[in-house]
Amino acid sequence: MATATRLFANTHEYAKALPMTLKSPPQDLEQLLLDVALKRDKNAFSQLFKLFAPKIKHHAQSKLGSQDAANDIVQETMTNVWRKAHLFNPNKGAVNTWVYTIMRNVTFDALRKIQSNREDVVSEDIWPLIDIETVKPMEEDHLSTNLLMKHINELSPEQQAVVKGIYFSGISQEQLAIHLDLPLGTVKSRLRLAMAKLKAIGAHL
Amino acid sequence: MINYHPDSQLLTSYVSGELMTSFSCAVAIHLEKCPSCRHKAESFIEQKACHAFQFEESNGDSSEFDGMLNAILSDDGIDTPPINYLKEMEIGGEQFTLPRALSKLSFGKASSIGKISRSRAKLDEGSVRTSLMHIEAGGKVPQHTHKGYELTLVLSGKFKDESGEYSEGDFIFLEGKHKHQPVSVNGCLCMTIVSDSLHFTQGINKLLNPIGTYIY
Repeated sequence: MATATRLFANTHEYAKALPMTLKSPPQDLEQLLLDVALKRDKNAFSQLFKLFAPKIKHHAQSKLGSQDAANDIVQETMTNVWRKAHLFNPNKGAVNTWVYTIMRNVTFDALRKIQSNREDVVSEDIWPLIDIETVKPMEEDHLSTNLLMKHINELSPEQQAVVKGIYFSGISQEQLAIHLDLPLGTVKSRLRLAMAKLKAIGAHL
Repeated sequence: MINYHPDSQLLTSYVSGELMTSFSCAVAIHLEKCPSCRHKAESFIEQKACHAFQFEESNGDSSEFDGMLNAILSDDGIDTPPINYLKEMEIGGEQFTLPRALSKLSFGKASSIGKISRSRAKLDEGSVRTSLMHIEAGGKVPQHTHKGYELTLVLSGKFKDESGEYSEGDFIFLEGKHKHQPVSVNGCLCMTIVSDSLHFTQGINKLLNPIGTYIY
């Protein structure tokens, strides 16, 4: 999983070593984003970044006018892509659309902040990135999700990839097997072991 | 059965993030209740995304962003799925769970006149005022007209006026000089967005986030 990172210990060299162009039929984009989601693949993210960043800047500049403001939108949108890749569900729509919704939300909140000086971020409530169960007050403890994430991060990278793919990206075991290039049986047994380990370390599942 | 829907132009502006916060919330709430508009909105956003991200063979020079890319990659944390806490609110003596889109807005104290209670959302949208309106069973809103426009979105229950009956999810947008007198036999809760100022902008533009229009 970390081979690419080891090759380029210095991330700066890493960015330079990538090809400048990429033909990108939608399935390529999907493969790249799933590689980011499941393997934290920096190479895949860099390719997505190089494709999307200039387009996002162009779009943001037409909405916000200034270069600086547009750069902020690029940075925030692509940071979200990096940090939320595991929430992307390929069964719900294309990568293009997913990145667009993130960019739209970031831009909406930025405009709202300029317009009304309000810091409350409402875009997530208007356009949630994923279909999540909404919770009535006091029914769910935010801490328990953070705790669960902490437990998941204690799993081996291989087990993490399977748990995140199934539970956060919402893809099927069969699809996950294809994306990770593993036999279905291996995915199933990794998931079983991962869940057993999570229970053993006291995660509430 | 929902009979009143936002039109395609409004839905397109909504998916592009161009509407004011009040209207964005109202459309989001309607979509939660209306599968056919949700379906339309999905196809509009796909079109918008394809338009915004047309990749050519050569994508030009992205080296100006190298520093940014490295900064993003240097932090390996991930975001946990957000949890949405819904807001509970008492209005007109009844307790309601507000739709997700309204969960972070603040509302003023409800003021009541007879069977009508109203609580205003603190949105700072100038002459555009957004509120929750509760009509108790048997309540009547006095006959009124608007110079600007009025959106009424039914959150629960039913009401009727001279033109018809409206139930949960109905998105009723009225413009210009019309008169109506809403009545609710069994009570209802609505979200209303009203603008009484005379608008110099026409059509969809008056519903857009004004920042967009300052810049152009």
